[in-house]
Amino acid sequence: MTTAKATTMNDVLVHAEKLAKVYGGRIPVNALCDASFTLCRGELAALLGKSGSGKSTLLNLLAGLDQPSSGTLVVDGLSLHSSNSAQMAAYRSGTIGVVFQSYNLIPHQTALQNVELPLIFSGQARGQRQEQAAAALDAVGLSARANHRPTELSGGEQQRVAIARALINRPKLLLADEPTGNLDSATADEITALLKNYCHEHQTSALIVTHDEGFARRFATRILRMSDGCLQEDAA
Amino acid sequence: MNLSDLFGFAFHSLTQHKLRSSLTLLGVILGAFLVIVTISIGQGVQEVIPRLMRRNDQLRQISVQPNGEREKADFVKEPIVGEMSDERRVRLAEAKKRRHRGRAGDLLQPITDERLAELAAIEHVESAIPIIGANVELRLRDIASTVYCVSSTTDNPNIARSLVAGRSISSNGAKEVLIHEFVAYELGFQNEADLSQLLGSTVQLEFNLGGSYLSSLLQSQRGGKQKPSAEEQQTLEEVMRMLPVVAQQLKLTDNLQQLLKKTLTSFAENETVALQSSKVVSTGDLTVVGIYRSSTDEEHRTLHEYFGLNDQAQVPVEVARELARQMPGFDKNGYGQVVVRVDEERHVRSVVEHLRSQKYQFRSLVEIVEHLQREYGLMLWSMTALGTVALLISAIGITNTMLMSVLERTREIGIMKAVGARDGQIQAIFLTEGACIGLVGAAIALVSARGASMFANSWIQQIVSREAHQPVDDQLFLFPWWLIVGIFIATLTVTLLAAWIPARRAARIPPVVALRHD
Repeated sequence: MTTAKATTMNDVLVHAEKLAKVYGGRIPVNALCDASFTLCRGELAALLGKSGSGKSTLLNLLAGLDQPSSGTLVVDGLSLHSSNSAQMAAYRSGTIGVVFQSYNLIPHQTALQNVELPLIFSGQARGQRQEQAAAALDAVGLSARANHRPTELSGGEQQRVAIARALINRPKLLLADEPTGNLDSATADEITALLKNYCHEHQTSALIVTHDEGFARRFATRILRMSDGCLQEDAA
Repeated sequence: MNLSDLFGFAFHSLTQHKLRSSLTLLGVILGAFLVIVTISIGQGVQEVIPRLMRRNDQLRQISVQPNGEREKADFVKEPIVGEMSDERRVRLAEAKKRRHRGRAGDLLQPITDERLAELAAIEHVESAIPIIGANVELRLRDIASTVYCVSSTTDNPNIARSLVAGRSISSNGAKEVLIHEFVAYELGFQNEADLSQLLGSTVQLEFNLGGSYLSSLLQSQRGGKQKPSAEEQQTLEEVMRMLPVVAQQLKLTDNLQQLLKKTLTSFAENETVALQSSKVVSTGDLTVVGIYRSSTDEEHRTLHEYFGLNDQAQVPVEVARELARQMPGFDKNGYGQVVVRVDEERHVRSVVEHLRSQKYQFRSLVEIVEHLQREYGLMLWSMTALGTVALLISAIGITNTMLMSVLERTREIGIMKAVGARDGQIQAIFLTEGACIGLVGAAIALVSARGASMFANSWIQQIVSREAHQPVDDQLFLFPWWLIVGIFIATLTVTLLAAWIPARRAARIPPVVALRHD
């Protein structure tokens, strides 16, 4: 499955072919069946589907959090299906940014420290990374809450912190799993605008997992659909 | 990710669960405390023992007795008779030797002047001084008193303190004598003020060779002060000759008569021989230079006053040697004891080995010290082993606590991995937590042990001072640098090992699994 527009190999950021994921257990579950797609640099895509359709499984594979059972997955030239643990860590640190539905902030750290976290693991000096983290928080409008802990922030504010953390490494691919799922509509609109503006400004590709078709259409230029582990794309 | 980041993560994590972290830390502190205290007191005791012995320079001294195998009396050499196994014959021969050990006929190879010179020539030996002692007659003008006289040297530290009048001997060859205050009293110097009159007086020390038994008996009955005159000795000799004749007039059975005659005849003959060979050996004129007292009970109680000062006269060693050489049998018996002084303590062991190779009998405080150090060392190392076990048990506590921590923080681990943490970095975070517990535990244990040791040391010093009736200022707890460094290394190693399994487990959790964890 490719975009309608003709692309060159240099434009392609994500290339997945016959990607499959089977969860073992007493009764094996085919969470993803032969999914093939490409995503170009700067392209914004939304992945729609019901709960349990395999959206999060595909996102986890793209985020380097899980390994496919078969098929190939190449992101920015790195074959994720055959990478080792260290390569995957470097990929998560330098190529992608992930925003989770449940924010996934570390509760005993402040907003600033949470945003700073990816830079700690990439080995940046303290002063430099604190400056960057403060700037990222400022970009999402939370500089005043930098020293608050997640429990002292609203849902929307926590999601902004998570977005700031996902973007602090200037990722080539932004992955978001239901980023507005826990937010009211006004806040969801703010978050949508925030992500879209950033991607446009920095030519960042994005794949947003959602079950909200309205959000998907407001955000993305491409709509992908998952159903029972199978991937389809809406006509352009 | 630098070291300060790692310690920052560890600090945050440990302070999240203060009670749990404190209890884990307490286990480490107790284990390390026990190890520190036992090693510390072990070191202290190992140092104190030789220090106590060293006070009187006794660690450099070796007391040497005549060497070699004893020459056994004929009755010991006689073979074991009867039909028996070889094993039993050997056993009985050994038993016979043991029974007759020390009886008449046993002679050691003596320490003669030549052997004394050989001892003095051993490498690292500073001096070899014989210890000579004998019962002699001390004669001041016409008054005599039987005293036990010993040899002394100028460096005897006990004498100077025990002098009640006069001074110590000036040299090992000086014609001088020190007299016990009771001997002075017996010689008629009863008032304290009279003692100074005795100083400077001339006395002689005499040894009567082969004197009559009856005349010795008579002198003894007179309190040992007055010797029988020549007339009295002649009369006694006459009596001895008459005794067998007088005995015949007693109304006794034939057997008893015969036995009495035989005894008296041999007794009278022996007395006569003794009287005929009677000879006096003398030191010549000696000047009384000092009068001393006995050691007090308190002085006796302390280790370095063990030998005391209860002998009744002391003469310079060369004077004593001169007297000893004139004694009958000196060639055969030699000196009974020699004190060998070694130049430095560290050379005592080699001199001891030399003496052992020459089959000398000897007694060295260094050997006693080493024995005591071995005994205490064994006991204290056993206690240290117990402390180590306590530390290891606390390590199991650390492992348990950290496994719980990994479980509780699984989602946090997932978040870290999702934002780029490598497995090694996750592992390092948990190992640093273990290291923090170890380092803080060791530091607190060290400070606590130092504080406790100061208190215990002062308490023990008070008790020992009270028992020994003298101030004791020895440090029983020592904290050498290697103990301080060692306890940090040991505790760090134990806690890192304890944290290893949880850290590995944390590092290996797949991120997707960790993020799903509640």
